[in-house]
Amino acid sequence: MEHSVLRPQAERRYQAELAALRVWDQGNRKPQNWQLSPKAVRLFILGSREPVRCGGETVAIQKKYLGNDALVERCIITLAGNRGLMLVGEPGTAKTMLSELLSAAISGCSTNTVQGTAGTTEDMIKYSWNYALLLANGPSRQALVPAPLYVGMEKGILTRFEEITRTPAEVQDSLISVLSDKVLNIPELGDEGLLFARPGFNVIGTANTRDKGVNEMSSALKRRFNFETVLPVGDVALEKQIILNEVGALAAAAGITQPLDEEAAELLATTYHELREGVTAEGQRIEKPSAVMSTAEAVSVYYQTLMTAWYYGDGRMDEGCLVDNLVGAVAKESREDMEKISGYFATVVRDKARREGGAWKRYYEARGRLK
Amino acid sequence: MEALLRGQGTAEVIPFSLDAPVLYYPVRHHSPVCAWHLERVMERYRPDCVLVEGPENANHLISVLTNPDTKAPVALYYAYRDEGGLLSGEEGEEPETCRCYYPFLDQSPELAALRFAAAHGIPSRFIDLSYAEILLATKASRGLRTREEKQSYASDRYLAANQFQKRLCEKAGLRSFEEFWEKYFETAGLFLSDEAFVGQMNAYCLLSRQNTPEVELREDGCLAREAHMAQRVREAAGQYQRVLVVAGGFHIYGLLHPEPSEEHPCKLPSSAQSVYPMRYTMPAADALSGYASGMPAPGYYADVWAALHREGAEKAWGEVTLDYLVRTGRKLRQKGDTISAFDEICAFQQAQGLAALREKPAPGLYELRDAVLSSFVKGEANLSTGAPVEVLGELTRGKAVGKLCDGALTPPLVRDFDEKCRAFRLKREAARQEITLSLFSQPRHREISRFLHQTVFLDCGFAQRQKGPDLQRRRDRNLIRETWTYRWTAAVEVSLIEAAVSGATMEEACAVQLRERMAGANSAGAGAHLLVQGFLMGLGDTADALAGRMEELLLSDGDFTSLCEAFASLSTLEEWQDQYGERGGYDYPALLDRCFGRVLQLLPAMAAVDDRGVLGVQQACMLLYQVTDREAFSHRRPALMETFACLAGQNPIHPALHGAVLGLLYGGDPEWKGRIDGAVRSYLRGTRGMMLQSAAFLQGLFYTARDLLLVDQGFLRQIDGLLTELTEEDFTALLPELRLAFSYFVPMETDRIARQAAALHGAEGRDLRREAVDAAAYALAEAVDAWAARRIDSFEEEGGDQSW
Repeated sequence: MEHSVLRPQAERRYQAELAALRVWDQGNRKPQNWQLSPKAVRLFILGSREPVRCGGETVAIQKKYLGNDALVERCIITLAGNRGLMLVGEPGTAKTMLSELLSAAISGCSTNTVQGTAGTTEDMIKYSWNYALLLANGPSRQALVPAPLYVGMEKGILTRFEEITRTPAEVQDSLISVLSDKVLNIPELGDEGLLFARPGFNVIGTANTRDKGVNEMSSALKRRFNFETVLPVGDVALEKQIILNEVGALAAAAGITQPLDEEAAELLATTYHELREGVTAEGQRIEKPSAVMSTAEAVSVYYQTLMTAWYYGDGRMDEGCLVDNLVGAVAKESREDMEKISGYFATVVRDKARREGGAWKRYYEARGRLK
Repeated sequence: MEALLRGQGTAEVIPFSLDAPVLYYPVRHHSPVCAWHLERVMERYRPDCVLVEGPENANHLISVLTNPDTKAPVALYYAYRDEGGLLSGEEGEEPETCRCYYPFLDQSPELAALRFAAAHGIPSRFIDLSYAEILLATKASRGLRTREEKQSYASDRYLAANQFQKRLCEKAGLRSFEEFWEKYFETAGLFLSDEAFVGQMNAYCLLSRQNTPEVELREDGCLAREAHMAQRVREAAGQYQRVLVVAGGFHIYGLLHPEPSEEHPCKLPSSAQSVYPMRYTMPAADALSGYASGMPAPGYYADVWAALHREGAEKAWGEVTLDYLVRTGRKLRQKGDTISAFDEICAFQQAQGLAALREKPAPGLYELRDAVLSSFVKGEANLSTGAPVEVLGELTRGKAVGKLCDGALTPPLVRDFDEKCRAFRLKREAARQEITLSLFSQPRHREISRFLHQTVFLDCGFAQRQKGPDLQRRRDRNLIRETWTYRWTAAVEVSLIEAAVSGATMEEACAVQLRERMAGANSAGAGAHLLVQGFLMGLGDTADALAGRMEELLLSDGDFTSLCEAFASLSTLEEWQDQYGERGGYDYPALLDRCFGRVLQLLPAMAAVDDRGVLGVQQACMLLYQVTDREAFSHRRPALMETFACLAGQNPIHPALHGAVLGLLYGGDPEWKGRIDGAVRSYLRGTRGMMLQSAAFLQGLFYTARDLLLVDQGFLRQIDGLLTELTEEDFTALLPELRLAFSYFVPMETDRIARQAAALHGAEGRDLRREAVDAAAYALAEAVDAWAARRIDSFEEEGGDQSW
């Protein structure tokens, strides 16, 4: 029996869709070594209204990335060209998800990934050695342990580099010549030490703009990437939809069958949206908290509340619990943020409660839990 | 319309056949593809009459538009002045003025049609209602009557601004109507046959029309216009065999199915409306393309249009895209950005790849923008990295300036301006010129000054006053010459044409605008400021009419500062009119008198003014006092003194104001000397809080009555006595303000006071005199400075080691 995993990678999760698209894709022009054509990749990420026929059955292609369609198109074309793709933006704007979907669709593999940290070294990007073999047989291809960049070049697939600005600048720079020459030099292997990238290889990097100060990228490296700025969702209704979609997927994976509460999603989407923008739908100016108010955070707050209701409660999403989880999510960086949230409740939520009643009223009544 | 709903095809609702006696060709304004197919259709159809959508009161200007010497962009400028109150329905009010532009670019299908007709000697004409009639057929604040800075006749909001359109974009995954248009019409439309293209155009426009409520069409005057155009088409059809009608795609259905045309209730006086051709600029054409009114990026589409004729449909878009990428790169490099040829290659690949992915035959404006965003912007896209997108925006906007052929009709205002320039020998050259005017000795120079002030008032960017007496700021009264710089540019002419709606001569236009601005002024200060401008422009007859409005403003304005401002302006006018040789023409004294009364009324309430406002009130008091020195106002003096006395008696009162008012009272009546002595005592010997205010009090006192200290030995003695009683600490605290108080005296006076004060203490003035700095101390300080500089130098030479 197959063990279930907490979060299957994109190519597993959307296996059926990808298979159907491969059939649909017959006759479309494809860059070398791509699993799908650019058109099919776009369809995979942006979804299609009509289901795709695959053999005898039809498969619905759901919209996985909500927001900027043109951005996705630019990303796909960049990856088909000879520059890397760098996704930058605030935390929680689905950069990683987009990078994963692109890799799954283009290379059929989203796991060839460098997870950038302050401790990332060059051999975690390029290759390292199996020292037992190295000592026994000397440097050889067998003794070499390929890292994601090596794998990507060798197989002609995408290499993902997450959180690139968290890694030290000199480590980042090891990408420079590889990206322009498409060749990796392994001096230990002597004459056979040149690895030429196969077609289909490219790099998708992601970087948080909040981390800019940590390790700014060198301009030489910047020149080898096309940058795409992923902006937070600009529309409350869309944000609500994302929360519901994401939580729906999480709940299904966890076997939670409770129906989702749309009102609560709206409360959260509105709260997060307004606090992030610093202005309410009514045009009131409010103070922005310094904590990250991303859609991903809103999803986690919602999911926690849902789980509380599922395991402890009567199955109804409780606004009090929602406020508790909101506090947990916001009160990370500074005490002042809590005052800003309290201020938001005391003015904006109060007005909405008066005007709209219902969930907003219960939400406002739970303000005592803001500590 | 129902026909379409019943499933009838577009071609049945709007037939398009080259054999028909009347051929309707649908366009979108400034669309290259529409003009491209139109050129072909005209060659095939060979019309013997061309009718174009456009206000028909410009028919006489078609020859100017089609003249080979006229270079696009040009525009027709329509103006209407509602003298009869037909729009507002109320007579007696300041008449509403309306204006709009009808721009023509090389890629405008309308211009292509007119040019074709001219080249083939075929009659052509505009068929829409005249501009004024359109306004009359339109409900207030709808259509062309919406209150916007710049109105375009060539608006196509019907095509772009409805729900149907929004849904269509969502469904096609496109960002905006413009992108939708470019994809399905501009690029893909090029490769369709003329018939297929027209069919697609008509289908789209019919759907747009179906989604626009009829009441909207009626209120916008759209139905009345269509009825009129249909009437003109019928007339032409009776006269010619093959009539080509070029009109906005949205209107074609209305032309085929017009409403019964209504008779217009009243005849418009022909003088009320005017139309002139004018040079136009690409940026201006782009500004008009705001919300869904005309195609954006006119420069880019003009280049596409040129490339279509140069390269043919297959290559044009790719060529233009590449050209723009290279130009953007070059411009960025000039600005110091590092954009390499490789960046440009990547960008071009990006544009082509996107076009293929989006199933467009060639990259267009949106692929171009995306390519620049992807390949030229390094790092997060924000304000600091936005230069490439900005540069591209500038380039696609274009900066071409049009040209009109010789002999094109110019509005009387422009002619008047030209005549005046000639008469005054002002050079119409692009280089900056300077002129110096002896205002008060030469009447001719005064005339020139008036004219230059008029150009400033009309805001046409022609002249700038550099030096000279400044009535508006009440400065430099001692100067008797005015120096101006001026420069003639095309923009001057454009703004004059825009002002032409106000009048036929400079004086008339200024007078009309002055009245309008006066009607809109909301404070006495602003009103008086306008009066000053009127005075400088020599608009005597207008000023009388303005006086009534000024009186209203004086009565309704309750703001002390604004009234003081007005008072100062009026006082200046009253005072200076002799010098300008204007006495008699104006009744400023009456206004000044009224203003005087208002200021006086509010003055007692100003006792509690704060530190920031006190100087203004002091100045106002001083001015009031000075005005009553003039013979005509001497009767006001007693009332003023009474008010001052009342103000001085208030408690609390700002000490600086207190001092100033007491000083003025003393100036009017030396009897007040005793009160002043008492006040000085009460400040300097009062509680500590009062004592700390004494310097401010003295400052106010010396501001208005510094002679007090010079003529009255006793007063000096008294102040000296009081100052000696202060403790060292209190004296230091007061010192800054005391210094300010004594700054009103000229150096000679300060010397004299110092001598007298020294005498009181048995010293001579000479004893007080000492070097500003002791020579020995100065030498020592210099030495220390030089030593420090040496140390710093050697420290740097040693590489900043620890020997410091």
